[in-house]
Amino acid sequence: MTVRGLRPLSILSVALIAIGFGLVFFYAPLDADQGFRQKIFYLHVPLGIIGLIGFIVGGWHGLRYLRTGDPSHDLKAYVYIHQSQIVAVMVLITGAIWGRTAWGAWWRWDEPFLVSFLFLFLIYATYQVLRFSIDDPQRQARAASVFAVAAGAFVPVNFTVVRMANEYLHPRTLDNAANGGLPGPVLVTFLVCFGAIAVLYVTLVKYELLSKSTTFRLRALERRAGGDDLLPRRSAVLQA
Amino acid sequence: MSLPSVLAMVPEDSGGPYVIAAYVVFLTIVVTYVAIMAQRLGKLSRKADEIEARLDARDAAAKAGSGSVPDGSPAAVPAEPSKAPEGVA
Repeated sequence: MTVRGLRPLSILSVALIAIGFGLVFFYAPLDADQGFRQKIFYLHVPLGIIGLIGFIVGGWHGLRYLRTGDPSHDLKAYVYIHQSQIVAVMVLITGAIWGRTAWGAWWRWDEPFLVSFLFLFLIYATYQVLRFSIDDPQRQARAASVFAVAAGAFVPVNFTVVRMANEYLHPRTLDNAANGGLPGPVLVTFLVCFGAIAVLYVTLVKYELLSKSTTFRLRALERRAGGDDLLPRRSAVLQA
Repeated sequence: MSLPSVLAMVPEDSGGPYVIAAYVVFLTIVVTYVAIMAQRLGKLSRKADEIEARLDARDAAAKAGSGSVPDGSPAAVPAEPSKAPEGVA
């Protein structure tokens, strides 16, 4: 990936976000129950879904690293998890804002959806701590990959179990969508926003990978300039 | 349509300001992240290009058979660039 390759992706991200937000505020109808506050749904739900998918993709790359030993998979696992952590912060913030308007409280400890997502976020918050507490590059990559696989496998399990809860306050958006419960304009707006967030996520992943590869190029040049080409190889993430 | 006129249309009784806040938070985080990454990437790219240009000049001088090494360069320098580090995607 080069800066040139990133440019069209970045332009597409900006365009889709502009279109999506335009639809949110000027096309999608006001919800009969929730009114204007429902518009957070078009931001909060795509962020939540994309963030969770990113964690799973990170686990997939962790698994591929364990199977192949290719450090590029370890690097991708790191980047996907890092981006999903950022997205998860946005999910928690936008969710708290919606909760404040709908429930009158920023947070509800009796709501399984909220607590399980926070739990998942806190699990992933230990990823960097685990990773960078190990000095040996290969052990570091291996431990981080095992973590990525285990936590990535936990994501769908956690999601499924939480959805089996009988008592909940958090709206079940996907159930509504699957049952055809979303009106056309709402569904269209949701899908455009989902696409926009997905493209933005991929763009930011590519952006971070480009940053890492530039760091590697600089390190290689520095080694070449220093005549120190026989330095032991370090793990991809540690080098960055 | 100006920003104040748009904000005036936001209903306050169903959490309008909160909705705007949620979108502003999202955009702020994304823009801040991209700005930090762009600054870092630009700095790294400039530094890498600078070193590469110096190395190219030094290699060219060595190939020309002058046998002299520019000031400040180490005596033992590999002729070929080092292999790209592992993990570069």
